[in-house]
Amino acid sequence: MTAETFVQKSSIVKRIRAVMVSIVLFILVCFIAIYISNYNQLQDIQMLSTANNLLSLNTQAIESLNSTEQNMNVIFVRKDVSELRYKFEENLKVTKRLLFDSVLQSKDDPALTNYLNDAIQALDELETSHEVIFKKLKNIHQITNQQQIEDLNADLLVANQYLMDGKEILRKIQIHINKQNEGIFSSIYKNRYRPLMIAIGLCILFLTLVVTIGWAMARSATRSIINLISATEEVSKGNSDYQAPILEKDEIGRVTFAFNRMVTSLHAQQEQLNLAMDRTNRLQSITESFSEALTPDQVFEVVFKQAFEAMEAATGSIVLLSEDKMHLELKRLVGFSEEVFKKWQRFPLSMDIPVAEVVRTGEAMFLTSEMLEKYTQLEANDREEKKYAIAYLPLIIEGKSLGALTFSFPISKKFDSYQKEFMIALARQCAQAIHRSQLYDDAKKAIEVRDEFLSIASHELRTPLTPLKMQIQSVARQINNENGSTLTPERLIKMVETSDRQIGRLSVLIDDLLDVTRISAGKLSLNKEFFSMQEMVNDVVGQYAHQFKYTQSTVEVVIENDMVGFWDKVRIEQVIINLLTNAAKYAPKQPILAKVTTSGDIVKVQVTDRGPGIADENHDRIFKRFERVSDKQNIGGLGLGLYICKQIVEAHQGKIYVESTPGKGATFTVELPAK
Amino acid sequence: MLTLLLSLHAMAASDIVVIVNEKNPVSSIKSSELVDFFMKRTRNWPNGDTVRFFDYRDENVNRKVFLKKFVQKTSREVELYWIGEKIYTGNIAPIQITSDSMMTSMVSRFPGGIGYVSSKYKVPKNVKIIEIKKD
Repeated sequence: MTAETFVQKSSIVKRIRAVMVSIVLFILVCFIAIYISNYNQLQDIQMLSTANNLLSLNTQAIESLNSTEQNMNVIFVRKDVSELRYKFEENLKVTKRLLFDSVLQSKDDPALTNYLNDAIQALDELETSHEVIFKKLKNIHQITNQQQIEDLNADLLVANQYLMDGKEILRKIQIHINKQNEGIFSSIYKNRYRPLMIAIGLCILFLTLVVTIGWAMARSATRSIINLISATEEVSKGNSDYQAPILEKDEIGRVTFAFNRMVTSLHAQQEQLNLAMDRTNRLQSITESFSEALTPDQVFEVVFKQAFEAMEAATGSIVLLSEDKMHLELKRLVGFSEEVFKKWQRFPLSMDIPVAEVVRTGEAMFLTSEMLEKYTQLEANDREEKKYAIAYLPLIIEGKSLGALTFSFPISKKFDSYQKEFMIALARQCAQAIHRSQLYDDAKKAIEVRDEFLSIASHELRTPLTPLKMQIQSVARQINNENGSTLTPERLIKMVETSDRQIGRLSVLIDDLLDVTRISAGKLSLNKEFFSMQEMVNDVVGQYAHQFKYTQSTVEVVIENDMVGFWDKVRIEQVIINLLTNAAKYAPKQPILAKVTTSGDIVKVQVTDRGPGIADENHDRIFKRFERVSDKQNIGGLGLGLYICKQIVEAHQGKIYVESTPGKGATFTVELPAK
Repeated sequence: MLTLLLSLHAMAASDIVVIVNEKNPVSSIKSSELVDFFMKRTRNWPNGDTVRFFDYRDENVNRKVFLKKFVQKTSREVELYWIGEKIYTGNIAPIQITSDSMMTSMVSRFPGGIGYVSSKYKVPKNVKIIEIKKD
C-alpha cells in the first residue's frame, strides 16, 4: 500500500469555468473595442457637424459684413443717415452674435477661437470707426473745407480697413474649418472599414481560441480516460500490480490514483491470501509428516528437513526437558559445529539464556542478534558472525513446556505477525508430535515391561510347581511300589512339608497377583482395627524366624516408642513382612534392624539392611509395578512387593521411602498416621 | 516723342519713398521685407503692431513704379496673386487709395501703417520716410 497521497493540482470543472469566464470577458472586450473604434468616427462626425454649424455661422457673418460694405459704399448717397446707421448697427450686432455663437462652439480649437476673437476685435474697431463717421455725418453741414472732406474720406477708409480685416479673418476661419473638415473626412474615409475589420479579427481570434482550448481540453481528458480504460484492461488481463500513470493532476487523475490504490490493495490482499494458503499448505504437509513420525528422532527429522527448508532458516536447534525437569537436553543442532553441540548437550534450566527463558515462561521470543548481547552466558562461538534474526519457540503440550525449538535467519529483521504465527503453529505441531512420540515410547516400554513380567511370572509360578510335581510323583510311585519299604513316615512327612512350602510359595505369588489386580481395579479394601505396632512387629519377626534362619539373617527389633493405631492389621503385617523378607532376600547373611519410633501422632517403622544398596535413580522406580532392580537370576519374585506396599501405605495416608548408600545397605521407612 | 517725353517725365517724376507711422521705431527695411509686407506674408512689425499696407489704385503712377521697382511683377500678376490668396489663405489685397495725401493720412492713423508716396510729395510730420535697403 502506497503511503503517498494524491494532491489535486488542477480541476477540469474549474478549467471549464475559467474558460467560460474568459470567453465572457473576451466578448465584453470585443464589444468595448468595437465601440471605441466607432467612437472615434462618431466624434469625427460630431466635429464635422460642429464645423458645419461654424461654417454656416461664418457664411452668415460674411454675408452680413458684405451687406455692411454695400451700405458703406452708399453712405454718401443716402439722405437718411439715421436709417443707415440703424442698419449698420443691426448688421454688426447680428455679425457679432454669430461670432459669439461660433466662439461657444469652437472651444476645442484654440486657433479658431483666436481667429474669432480677432474678428470680434476688428468688428469692435469697425463699430468705433462707424460711430466717428456718423458723428461727422450728423454735423455734415459744418463740413466746409477740403481738409474736412478728406478726413471724412480717411475715416471711411479706416472703417473699410477694419471691415477688410474682419472679412479677411472670417475668410481665414472658413479656410481653417474647411481644412479641418477635409482632415475629418479623410480620416472617416480612411477608417471606414476599421470597425468591421476589428470585429472580424476579434471573431477569428475568438473562434481560434475557443477551438484551441476546447480541443486541448478534450484531448487531455480523452487521453486520461483512455489511459484509465487501458489500465482496467491490463488489470482484467491479470496484470494485478499494474499502475496506471497519472497524466494530469485533475479529477480524472484523482480517479486514476484511486484506481491504482485499489489495484495495489487488491494485489496486496491477493498476495497475503496466497502467502496464507502457502503457509497453510506447508503446515499441513508438515503436520502430515509429523503424524507419520513415531519416535522423537523421526519428529526431529521432520522439523529439520521440512520445516527448516520451508522457512529458509539458517540454523536451528531443538532442546527438550530432561526427565528430572531441571535440565535441558540439546537433541538436535543444525548449522553449528560439533563442539558447540557437545558443550550444550545438557545444561541447567535455570541458566540465563533465551532458550531456557522460553522453556521457563512458555512464551515465544523473537530476537535479533544485537539483542543477544545482554545474555552474558552465551559465548562468542555460540553465535554466528553475521547479523541474524532468531526465533525461540516453546514446545508446549497441555500447558506444560516440553522444551523449545529455535530457528535463526540470516538477516536482521523483525518477523511479521504471519511469520510468528506460522512458527508458533509449527512449534505447537512439533510439541504434539514429540508428545505423541513420547507416549508411543512409554507405551512401547510398558508393553516390554509387561512381556518381561509375564515371562518372569510364568517362570516364578513354574519354579515351585516342578519340585511339587516331583514330590507328589515320588510319593505316588512309592505308594504304588509293593515292596516299597523305603517310604518311612518320617520321609513322607518331610516330602509333604516340602510340598507344603512350595504351595505356600505359590499361594504368596498368587496373592500378590490378586492384590495387584485388586489395586489396579481400585478394590483394595481395608479392615481397620486397633492394635499395637510393637506387638505386631514382634509377632511378625517371631512368625518368620524360621525363614530368617534359612537365609542366616539375624533380625534385631528396636522399639523406641510404641503406638496403638487404627490400621488394617493384615495389610500392615504384609508390608512389614515384605520389607523384612526383601531385606533377607537381597542381603542374606547380614543383620537386619527393625526399628519402631514415633513422632507426634505418626509412627515410623524402619527396616535397615546391609545389602548392596539401591542407586539414587532407582529410588522411585522400585516402587513401581513389575520393576526389579537386581539383575541377579538367583533372586526370584515378581517385582510386585514394594508396589503393593506403597499402595497399602498410601491407602492409610502414610508414606514409604528408601534411603540408601550403594554398597552399604538401605533403609526402608514406613510412616503411618495414628488414624 | 511726346509720349516718350511724357514717359520719361513720368519715370523721372514718379520715384517713390516708403513711409511709415511716425511712432514706428523702424528706420530701414530690406526691399524683400517690403515685398513681404505688401504680399501679406509678414503680418506684424517687430514691436508687435499689425502691418497695414496701403496700396494705390491700379492706374496710379506710384503703384507702377512700386510694382516695377520692388515687387517686380505686373499689375495683372499681382491681381492673380490676390485671387489665389483669397482662395487659399483668405488674405485680401490691401486697400487701394487714390492720392498721396490720403496715403499719408491713412499711414498716420494706423500705428502699423506702411505705404509709399511720390518722392516729390511733401511728407507731413506724422509719417516718416524709411530707407529701403537692397537685399
